[in-house]
Amino acid sequence: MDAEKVFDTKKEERWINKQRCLIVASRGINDRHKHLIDDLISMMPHSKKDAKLEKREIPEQISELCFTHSCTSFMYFEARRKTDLYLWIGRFPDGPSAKFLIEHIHGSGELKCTGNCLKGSRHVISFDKSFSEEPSLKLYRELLTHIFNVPRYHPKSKPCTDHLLSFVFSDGKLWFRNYQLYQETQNKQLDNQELYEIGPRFVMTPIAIIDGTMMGEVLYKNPNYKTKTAIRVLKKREKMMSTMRKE
Amino acid sequence: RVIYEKEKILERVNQIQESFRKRLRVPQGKKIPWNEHLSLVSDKSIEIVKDIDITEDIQREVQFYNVTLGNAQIALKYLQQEGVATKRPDDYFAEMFKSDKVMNKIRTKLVMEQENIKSFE
Repeated sequence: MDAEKVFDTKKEERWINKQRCLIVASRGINDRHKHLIDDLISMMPHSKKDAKLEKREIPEQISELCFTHSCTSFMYFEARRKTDLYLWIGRFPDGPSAKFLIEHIHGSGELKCTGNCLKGSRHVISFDKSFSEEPSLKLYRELLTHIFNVPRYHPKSKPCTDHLLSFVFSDGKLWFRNYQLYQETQNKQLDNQELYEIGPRFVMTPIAIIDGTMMGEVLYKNPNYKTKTAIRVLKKREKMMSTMRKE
Repeated sequence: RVIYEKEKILERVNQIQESFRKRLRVPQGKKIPWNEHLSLVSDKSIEIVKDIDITEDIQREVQFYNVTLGNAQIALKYLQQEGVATKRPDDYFAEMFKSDKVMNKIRTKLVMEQENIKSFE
């Protein structure tokens, strides 16, 4: 099919997959977190955003918002101590949901990322091999594909597929990258490809999987996960010990 | 205590796939068209070697790029088969993910860097 024909098709008629994703944050997020959320929203034309949530009865609030916006999945960003960011992803109405700690956030406005893509274009979602091995990672893969996947023929989406989201599992964490699919079109060879990073990038540490929308039976708990506060306490103690030794 | 209910998790994975199949009205036993979910799993994984000259971060970055590039090549092949455009036509104007302001900044920065290198020579 040539390009003109693709750009002519009426999307609304063929738009079957009406999955929507709710994106909300709690109160107390800082500007870095806000930029990340804005980037995600502009990348996902099928997302619905809502006002910041008060931190009480969160599962009930999320369920209600998913119901009113008729969303099939949700991303809920929770800030603690104004520095730490946690992410809940999950499916509505019958779960499951997963909790992550988010670290090392770099926004798309940073100057070392040279790529660019159309706003709201569809993206390929790429995983590495470990996502087909561990059961917990398999579930993450399934959740993430359905959250990030821009439905085909979505009215707000562009008819191009010009970028790629990459999830890679390494060191017990999920690493997120966003690349532009770039190719030389002159001689139609697929070999000389390059990827340019678009941003944002961040790292997700799995914490738990819960059977239900943010409440219910715990299916998985990461044994290697340490809370940020515990890490900070450890660091403080080490510092104290080193100064004591010097004295 | 370690909590890891592998079977229940796998059951959940199947449930999600089934609900997606129902949503797209794809009959049982038929494959869901790749174009609907656009997801790929590589056959390579990341291996970090410790105690060598290159730091872990650089190793990781290079391997991320390689794994993703492998997937990108397969993806582009599939996209061509399905007849999906991977590049916008030159006369198609639309809002970009990053604004012109940001892209101009990046461009001037790149030019500055190259000039710096030249001036050293």
